[in-house]
Amino acid sequence: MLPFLIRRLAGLVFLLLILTMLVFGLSRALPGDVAAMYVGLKAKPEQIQKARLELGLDKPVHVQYLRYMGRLLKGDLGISLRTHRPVARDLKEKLPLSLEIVLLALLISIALGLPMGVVAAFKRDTWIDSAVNMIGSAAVSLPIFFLALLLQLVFFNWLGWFPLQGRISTMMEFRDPLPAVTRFGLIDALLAGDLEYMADMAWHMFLPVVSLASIPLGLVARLSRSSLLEVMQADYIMAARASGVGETVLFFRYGLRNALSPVLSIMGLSMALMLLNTFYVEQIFNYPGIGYWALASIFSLDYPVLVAITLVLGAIYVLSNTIIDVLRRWVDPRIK
Amino acid sequence: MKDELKYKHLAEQAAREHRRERKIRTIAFLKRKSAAAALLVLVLITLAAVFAPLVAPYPDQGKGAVNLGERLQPLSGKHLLGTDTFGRDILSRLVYGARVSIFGGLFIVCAAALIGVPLGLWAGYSEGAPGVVISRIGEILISFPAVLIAIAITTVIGAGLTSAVIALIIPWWPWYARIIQGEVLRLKRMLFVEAAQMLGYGKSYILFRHLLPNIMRTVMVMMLLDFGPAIISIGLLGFLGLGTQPPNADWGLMVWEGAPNLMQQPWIAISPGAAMFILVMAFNIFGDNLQDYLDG
Amino acid sequence: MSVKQKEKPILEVKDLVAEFTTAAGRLRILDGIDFSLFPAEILALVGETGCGKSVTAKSIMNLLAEQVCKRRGKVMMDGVNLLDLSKKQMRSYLGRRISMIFQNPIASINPVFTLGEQIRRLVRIHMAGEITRVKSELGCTTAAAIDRLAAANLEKVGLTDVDQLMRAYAHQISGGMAQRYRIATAVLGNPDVLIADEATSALDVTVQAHILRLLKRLSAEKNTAIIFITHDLGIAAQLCQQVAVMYSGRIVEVAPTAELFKNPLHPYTRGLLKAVPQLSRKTGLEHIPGTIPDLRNPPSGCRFHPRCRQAMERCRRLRPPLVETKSHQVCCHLYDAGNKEAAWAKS
Repeated sequence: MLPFLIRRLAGLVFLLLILTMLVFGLSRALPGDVAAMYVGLKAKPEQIQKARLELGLDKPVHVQYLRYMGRLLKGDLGISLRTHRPVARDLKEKLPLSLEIVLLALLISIALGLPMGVVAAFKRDTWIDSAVNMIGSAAVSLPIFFLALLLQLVFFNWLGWFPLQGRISTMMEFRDPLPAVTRFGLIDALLAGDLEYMADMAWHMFLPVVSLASIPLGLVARLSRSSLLEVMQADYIMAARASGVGETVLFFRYGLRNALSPVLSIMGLSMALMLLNTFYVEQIFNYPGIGYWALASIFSLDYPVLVAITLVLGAIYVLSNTIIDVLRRWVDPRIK
Repeated sequence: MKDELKYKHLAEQAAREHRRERKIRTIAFLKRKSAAAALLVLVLITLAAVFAPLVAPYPDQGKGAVNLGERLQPLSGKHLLGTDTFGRDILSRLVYGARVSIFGGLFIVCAAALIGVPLGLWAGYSEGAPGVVISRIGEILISFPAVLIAIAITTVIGAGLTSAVIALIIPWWPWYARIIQGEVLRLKRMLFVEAAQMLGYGKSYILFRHLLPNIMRTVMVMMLLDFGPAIISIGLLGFLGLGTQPPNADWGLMVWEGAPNLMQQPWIAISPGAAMFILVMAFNIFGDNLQDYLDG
Repeated sequence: MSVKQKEKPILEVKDLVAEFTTAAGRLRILDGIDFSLFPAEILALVGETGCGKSVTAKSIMNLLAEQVCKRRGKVMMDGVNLLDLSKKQMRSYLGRRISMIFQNPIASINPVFTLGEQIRRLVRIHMAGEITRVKSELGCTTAAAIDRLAAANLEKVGLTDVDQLMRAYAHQISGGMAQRYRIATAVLGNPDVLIADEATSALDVTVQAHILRLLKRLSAEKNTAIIFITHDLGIAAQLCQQVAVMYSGRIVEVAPTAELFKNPLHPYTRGLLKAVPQLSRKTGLEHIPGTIPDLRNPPSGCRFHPRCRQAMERCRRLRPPLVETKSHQVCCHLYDAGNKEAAWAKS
């Protein structure tokens, strides 16, 4: 296990190194003057020159890169060209907001998708099976922006059950901010004992989380169904059945654990997909997380922010896959 | 000579049997209602896309001509799906937008397979260095957000469908390389390849004569199942304004254009979104059925 | 053998038909199987690949999905037709009255649970009485009693180092050990009938011999009747008292082993025996012409007639009846009443 983790960690460092080089190189190679962006459109040539020196842009690219990497190791991600705020500080604030809805969506998609798939496989070729199949296919076929808008239309405009957008109600914004313990809003509110705050946040999170959960839910339901059906054909299931093990045990204990491994594999992909989908969901629901920030930065070519976001997304992608691989080894001892 | 004739006869008989079996299975496949319905939807949308100028009620509006006299019309006999903020007939724009989805999706999937499959074959077959390099490059490209690639390309060659398609192919082909690499490694351990090696056949001969036909099936299913995600991805970039540019029609772009009027004139954003949903769902259902059919 | 005949059979299969519904149409895989099995008897079921040996076993055990396989006929055990039982009712028979082991022992063990976890579950299912007995005898916990019983069962089939084995996974043990383990799990409920479906075909010859000896011992000690399915006539001769030869979904000949090898009656049995290499025989191997029939449109009458050198006109039309001779049961028109002289003359 340990050599495996070390290998994975080395892979992660290597990947991040390449990603920084690529994004950094891209930011210098693409048209557009970084210094001019930094000082704004109406700046005079002298101001731009001054900014260029200040940002170290007069040096050769590799020197700039090494400097950037040196600062990166100290946790300094540079300054946003658009807002002139330190990128690291923004990241620390916005990443937990997005991770919170992504992890919630992941949780929901497993908690609903897995039982759906299992029941469909158990009740194979019944109406339940067809229903789960249809729901699963529909869930993976919904374009995320369409689903988000549809949810707004139905649950805000027609039914009025959920708020249109934002993270908390305007009323709540005037309260004292919560102590940032975990930086996950729901948990911090719970720790502070402020249930009203927590409920308000959950109310706002509901539609974004549902939008994000749709695709993973469909993937998990469909995959757990097909994987379980395949496993139930295996020799060892027939052998256990022939030795008198009951169907329920066969299915929910013997079969399910065997079927879990492919379902876990899809989780890594789901994580990556949901992080990218926050770009759209947070835009539509005006939710101030990393996706909203990324999109704004992309369109203003705010390179320091883009480098940081690419790194973070890459790291999360690799880390979540590592966690999943550890889980898969635990579920299936054959994986070496 | 006599033996030869006998074997020829037997081979023909086997081929006939095979064709008969395939015919039976094809009929059984089409009998599945969902597969037939999905295929019907796909054929209809593709025909509409190909013959857009003939199908669209207002072809010029489909292409972007404004019609300010009839802005924001609800659904009616004249405009079956209403009109948008520029008074353009939404149905006509949907028909033209289908071209982007269908042909863009087709292009992405084909290009990704054309790049990924040879690289995957090479990586899997030669193991060692090429395999490692290709899978590392793939890993990096996969973990790169497509939106970022799109904006990079857009700043160089300008926004448009071409940039969007290129931006999607770049992180897409590694999936093919990865799957094919795994498949080659698996097949290589199988007996028929070992037998061919022992008989002294060359590498490329084995690669193309023995492995490729086995892998083509996997690739076909993968391409079909990738169609849906490809169409959604084009829509996603279109929605951000990084794909097809106005006044041209693109389903993702149409949803974006309709979003500000969502509460008052929901049909503007909902129609293209629903069209996308239906198309992608049809591809997914058809792909699932085909996979079952090929496996079963 | 004659003593046995008077005994009551433990399992009686009568006119068992199994039809598979496939995309290519309905296939009659079993076309009326008849045989009886007596306590402690070892019966070989031999035949070529695809003749329906495994399907016979799985139909008896009700292991095939009902949507795919429709069964008719009788499988009688203590006056109950097993085919009439629901899956749930059948479960009280599986493992306890009738059990089965399979060709690939490693694939027959769940790969993600340890051997111990799996056998302990079966102990809990089948040995409730013993668990209480061991508990009261040793004054230990239920878990310890289960452990002890599981270990004892594994030792009974000749496995050593049982504690370590119980912590192992299927992929960590050898094929021979896996098959011993499977036998231990299959007979742990003391079944009256054990079906061994090509149970030694995937094993090395030396391991094969050990497993065969184990099965023989089990049958003698516990009075377990065994249906031994194989395509290997040599093994059948070594192990079994009675041999049933199957061809294309029918049993064509049943006879005591020695009798069958000395004096095969059915043309198919004769062909099969001639195809077995023997050191003593000087003449070359013969083979049966043609291939096994296509079940989508099986031959009319006797399913063997297209390959039979002695086929007669009526073989094409009529299904041969089961003819009982002194020691054989044979399904062939050659032995019909009134046709006997002709048959002997030809053979």
